[in-house]
Amino acid sequence: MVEQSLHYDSVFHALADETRRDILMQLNNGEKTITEIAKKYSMSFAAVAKHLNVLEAAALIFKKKQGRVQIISANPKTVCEVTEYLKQYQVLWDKRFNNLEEMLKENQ
Amino acid sequence: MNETIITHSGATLTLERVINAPKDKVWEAYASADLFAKWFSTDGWETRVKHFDFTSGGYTLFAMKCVDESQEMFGQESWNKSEYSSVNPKDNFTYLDSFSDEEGNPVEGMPSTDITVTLEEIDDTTKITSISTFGSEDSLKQALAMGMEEGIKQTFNKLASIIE
Repeated sequence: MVEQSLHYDSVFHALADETRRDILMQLNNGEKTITEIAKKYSMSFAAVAKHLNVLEAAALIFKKKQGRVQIISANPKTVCEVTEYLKQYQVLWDKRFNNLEEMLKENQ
Repeated sequence: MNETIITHSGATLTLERVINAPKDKVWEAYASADLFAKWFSTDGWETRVKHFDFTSGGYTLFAMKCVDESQEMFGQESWNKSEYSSVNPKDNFTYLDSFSDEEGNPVEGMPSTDITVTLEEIDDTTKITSISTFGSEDSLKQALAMGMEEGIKQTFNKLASIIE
């Protein structure tokens, strides 16, 4: 249990950073090499690699080796779990605000 | 219907929503106990207001109760206390949101949240921005889990299976 909740902490930590969220967005369109990912940012290759390590530790991405090149892909399972988590909260508030809007419409 | 946008960063959670109604009306929906109870209730959960003082230094005490017999949470009640540190009519208010008992005593071990709600009128519509600041990322997660417990048991179970 401890291990799992640590994993969950690391997921939120990983997602708290804008660059790392952006990297995940890039991976939505399919796997990429580190070089391809790093192209978009002005930071050093090493800095991007560090972000990728954080994402990997949170099980948000997979790394695999193809010869000398590392291929990075998103881990849809973790991404879905986190998205679901926030989505339910969003759904709840969306309903409340829809109620509010409907109620004010009737009042007019 | 407009979209409700939710973003989070560290221990801060932001909700944004544009309501197709003028700011005066939206404010009234927050400031009137009856109207508030009406729009705050969702999916078989009823909001019952016990104390309502929407002024700086005042507080509101209300319960959300599951009244849908088909839900597993049927009959369960969750009390909530909002203590207003500042209320600037029609523009914004800031409050401490906590889980409490029926008498308004805080429930130990549950997170309290500082929330600032701002209303902005944009061409006859009103943009609501609600910024919640949690003591830590842990309390943000806990509060999100509780938000789900209000009505979405299935997901709550799923969450539990992730954490446990």
